[in-house]
Amino acid sequence: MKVFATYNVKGGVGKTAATVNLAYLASRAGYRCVIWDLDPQGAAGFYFRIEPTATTDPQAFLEKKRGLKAAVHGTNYAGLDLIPADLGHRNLDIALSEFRKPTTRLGKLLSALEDDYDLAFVDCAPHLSLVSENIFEMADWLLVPVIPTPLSVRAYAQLGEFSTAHGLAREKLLPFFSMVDRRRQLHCELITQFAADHPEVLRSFIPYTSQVEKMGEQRAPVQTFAAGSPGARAFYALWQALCERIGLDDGSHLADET
Amino acid sequence: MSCQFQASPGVDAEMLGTLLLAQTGMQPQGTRRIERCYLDTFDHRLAQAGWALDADLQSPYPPVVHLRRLGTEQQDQLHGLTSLPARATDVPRPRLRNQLTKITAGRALLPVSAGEITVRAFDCMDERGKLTARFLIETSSESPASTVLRVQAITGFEPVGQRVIRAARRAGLIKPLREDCGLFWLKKLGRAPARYRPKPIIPLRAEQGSSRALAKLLRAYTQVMQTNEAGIVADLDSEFLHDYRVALRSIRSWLGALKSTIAPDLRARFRAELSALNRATGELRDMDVLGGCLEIYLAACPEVPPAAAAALRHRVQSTREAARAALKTHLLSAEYQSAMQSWGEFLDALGRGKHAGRRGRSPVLNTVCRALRKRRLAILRFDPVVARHDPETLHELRKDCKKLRYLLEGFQRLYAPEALQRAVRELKTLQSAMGDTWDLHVHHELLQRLVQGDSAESPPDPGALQLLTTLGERLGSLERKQVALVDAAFARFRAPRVQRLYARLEENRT
Repeated sequence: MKVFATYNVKGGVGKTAATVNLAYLASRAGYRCVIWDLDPQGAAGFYFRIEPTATTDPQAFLEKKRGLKAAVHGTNYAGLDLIPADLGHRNLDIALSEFRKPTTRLGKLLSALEDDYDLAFVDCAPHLSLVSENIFEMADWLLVPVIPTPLSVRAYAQLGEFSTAHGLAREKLLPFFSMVDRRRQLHCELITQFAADHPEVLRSFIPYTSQVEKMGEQRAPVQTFAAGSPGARAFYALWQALCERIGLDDGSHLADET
Repeated sequence: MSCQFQASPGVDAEMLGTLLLAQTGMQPQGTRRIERCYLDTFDHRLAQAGWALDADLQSPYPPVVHLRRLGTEQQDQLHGLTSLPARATDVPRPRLRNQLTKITAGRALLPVSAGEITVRAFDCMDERGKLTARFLIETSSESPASTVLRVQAITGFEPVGQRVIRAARRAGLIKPLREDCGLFWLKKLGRAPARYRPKPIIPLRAEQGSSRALAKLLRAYTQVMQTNEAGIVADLDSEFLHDYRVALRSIRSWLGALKSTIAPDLRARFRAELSALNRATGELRDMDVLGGCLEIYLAACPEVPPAAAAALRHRVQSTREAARAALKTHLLSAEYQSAMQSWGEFLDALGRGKHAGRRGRSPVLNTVCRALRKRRLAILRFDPVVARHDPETLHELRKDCKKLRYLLEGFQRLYAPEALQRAVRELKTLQSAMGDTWDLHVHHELLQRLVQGDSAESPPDPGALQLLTTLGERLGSLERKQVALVDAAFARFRAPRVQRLYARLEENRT
């Protein structure tokens, strides 16, 4: 099972939208996928019309290796399941610190699903903490949405520094631009500059479009209600760019592709 | 989770549909006609291991392939397949792939049977628009009285599906479907896959006339040969030919062992025809076995240059292809069809008591006991000292052992199962001690022939010669080790305990 984590220190950059749409596209490509919503806001679950589970004691949650399996919910789409957020996750850091190896605990929990899924997408909350270190440990790749603004670019730099400081593999970072408005000169300049400084950036970006925003209204991946829209096409292009980068079959040969 | 139910008598798809639509949040999703294709190996290994693999085909979409554990609610959908899986290795999910590979032992997955089904889908949604269960009503115009309701519960929302099912069962509309729904439909459509046994067990009576009993056995094994013909012609799996040849060898062996039960002229004619058929199938089988071992041999000889290895692979492949084409032509020829027809007519006549030899009317048990003794004594005459230097002697012993085994297995219903199993077990020990050595010997000869065949057109490739030398050395050392094993196995077979066991079978004191 390959694990992707959508992560950024900064909030509101389109992490959940990216997780939901990429996981949906992966499931259409034939992979059995699970989304683990680690953000206590439960936005990924909201998009799939699945309510957050009742608050559980984080200590008990972290101790039960098989507990994650019981928390899986099927979505409306074949091959795509979700582990909804739990408000108790807001205290995950404290609970993790009680463990002897606190940075590997979440990976151990996720390994219980190893046989059931091909790909796991982890939607992370925006902070730098012990949970972040767990995510660095368990993820094969960190998808980092970056808005072309100085603050967001700075947040990516902080993430790079954090990974270096904690001896975490920096090559796992796969940034991509999100919420891009090409009418703005600042966005265009920052994208050019960032791409020159960071060759690891995925060569596809998500535009700021109303159809992606409507995901909240439709409560579904954008491909399911606006397949031909620029937003849906951009997520598909991002999925293809991601597959090309990491050597994954993007399933474009399948007949029912978007 | 998935579960399946059969509509009660008098209940049709309309009534089930009405019941479903009466449930809160139920939304009809339309009707589609699909071709349901049931997959298994040619010898139905999946079904025997308790698995069902089927595919729903609806052009132009990719197949929707399901793997189910029979008798449970466990069902996995195999995503990402653009065509039907030809082998277990085509299955995309590692865990299922490994499981299937183990069960099928690398054999081809074949579309064993298919039928057209109409599926009406209903999705149950909660107040948020979340899918909580999916219901499928399956019918077929070919079997109007049959209706199946399948429930695909969504993980985390199982109680919803269970609630609807409870309501339908309380209303007496459905009852659990005890067998797999795929097999259920194939049976209803009259296309259930036939039960296949590569070595059929034929009920025989001890006092039955020998020629009639033999005719029964020969007919059953001829049926095995004919069942495998299409698979050989289509080259779906090398095991078709393997089973075909085992049946053919068994038939030839029984014709020889019970020769006095058949009129000599006819026996001689059919033995000659069957020998020719055995030769016609030999080349392809040799190439199949060599092809299976070639990579192991090449891995054991890392010093062989890659170009030479590739050339050898190509040579084996092209020789196999030529052998396959020749055999295909032979099996489709009018000459073969006519020979098989004559053989069938002869067996029918033999079964009616015609063409019997001088012992044709003797009780079959007496005839078989006499043949068993003769075969056993032939094995005991084997000289292990000669075999140390002569692989052909070892091969003769193998053949004698096979003949004895065919007699025991073919006429097994004449003997008590325990004694027979013990006798076969002892024989197997001796046979397995010889098998690997002989294969290596044959493969060395085959490779030599292939390399020399190349040298007729151009000088022999140094890499291929190197492989031959290395293999020859391996053969020598393996044979030395193996002959010691054969000695031990042969000594065990000759032991008074085993001989007494056989003597009891031969004297019918089971």
